[in-house]
Amino acid sequence: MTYEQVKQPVEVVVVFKQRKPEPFIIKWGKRYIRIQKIHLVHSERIGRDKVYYFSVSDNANAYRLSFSTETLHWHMDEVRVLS
Amino acid sequence: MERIIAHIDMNSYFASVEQQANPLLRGKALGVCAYLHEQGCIIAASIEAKRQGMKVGMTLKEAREVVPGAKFIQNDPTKYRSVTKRIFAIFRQVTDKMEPYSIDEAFLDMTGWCRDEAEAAFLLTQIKERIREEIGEWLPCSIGIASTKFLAKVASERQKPNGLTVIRFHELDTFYATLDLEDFPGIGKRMRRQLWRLGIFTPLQLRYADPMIFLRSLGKTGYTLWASLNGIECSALFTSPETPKSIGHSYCVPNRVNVDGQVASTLARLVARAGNRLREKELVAHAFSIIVGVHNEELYRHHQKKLIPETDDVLVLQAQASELLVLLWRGERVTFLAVTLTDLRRPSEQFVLPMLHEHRSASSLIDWRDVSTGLDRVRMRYGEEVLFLGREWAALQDKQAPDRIGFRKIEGPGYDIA
Repeated sequence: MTYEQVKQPVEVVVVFKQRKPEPFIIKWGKRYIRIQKIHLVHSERIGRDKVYYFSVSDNANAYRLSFSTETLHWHMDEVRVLS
Repeated sequence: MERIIAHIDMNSYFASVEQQANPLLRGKALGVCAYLHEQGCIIAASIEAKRQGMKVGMTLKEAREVVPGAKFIQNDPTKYRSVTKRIFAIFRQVTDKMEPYSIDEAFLDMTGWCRDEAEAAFLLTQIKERIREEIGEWLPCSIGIASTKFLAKVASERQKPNGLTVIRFHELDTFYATLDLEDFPGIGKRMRRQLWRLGIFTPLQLRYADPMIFLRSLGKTGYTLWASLNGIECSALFTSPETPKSIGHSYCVPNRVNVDGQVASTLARLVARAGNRLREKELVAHAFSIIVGVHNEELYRHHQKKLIPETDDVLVLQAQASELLVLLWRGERVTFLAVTLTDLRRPSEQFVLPMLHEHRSASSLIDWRDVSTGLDRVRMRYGEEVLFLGREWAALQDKQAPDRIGFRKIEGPGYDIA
């Protein structure tokens, strides 16, 4: 398993299921990633900002996305690839 | 009416949270380390790693020798605190009396909310299901139900992982017959030796012994142990926040810190972290100590100082820490640093006369307090590490003295984990 910290801005399509937002598709550069499962959601307060982290996966890789409630920006934080 | 107390203990918690977040780690031997360094300590091992012999407290090097194929990752305190907060929020929906005992365990007083242990067991099974559905499927927990906190904790230890054990008072003897003395909280190797000297070799012998023997030979601790084994409640459920007795931060210093001359800076960082927590809790410290561990020295060097006047000011605390460091350290290789703020109280509103202060006039003291308050305001808005004092710079650049996760009892439900 290889692990990479990327911290790059991404575009995300979000759906609301039972009033909870769930990232659905990630556009990372020219790649589109269809999220298969959300494994864990956790949050962190950084001053006034509250950042939500979504640990997700598609069929091959696991990703960690972050969403800042202050800037409303999504970032791809980490990618874990099966090698 | 007999009380119904439940103890819920999350199994291999930090490792389980990591496996929950990353499906590629599931089913594998995983060690969560304090630091990813050969001498870094394992603070949690996954259930799979435990089965292969990995134990909490081993160094990374030892763990790798015991489980060669294991994976190791550095701990992520923010993630664990956030997940704990969500789990405890579910617990609070079952009862109004919940005591968070540590980051991964809690006591629930279900008296009045359930008719009997069977109903409590049913409700707690539903809680397990809610954790699985709302937080994640890879977060097992063990549940113990009994009439006291002590027995509930013993019960939760009985079946791991993912068990549920009920101890009824009239079944205590049958239950104790299957246990060893060291299966009880508070009995370690030392206490066991003391009990052997009294002719106590099994839990049942302990239960039916004369309590006066324990009171005479082991004092209050001995009596409490006897009473706890007899189903007598010795500690109340702490549902309101308590004032902590001390606030501290420690760090196993890597050699790089010595080579780069960052010892003083790392200490300043530890003081800043402790000071920030002190002000968050709106307390002031009346005493302050630092501990320095030096390479090839068995005992740590320690110095305590009374703070006159009492303070929560990071500038004063850092200046005091620098003075103590000069007394304790002569440039040897440092392996461990710790800062502890003790004798914590709510701030007194009484005006402190300038003559009582050692170094500064009253006016300059007020100015420095304003600087500290200003720093806190900026940090509250933009984050803890956005603004810091120059002496912390070197340690911060090199990511020394990072956020750590505590194992000790946490301070009541006021504990804000976000």
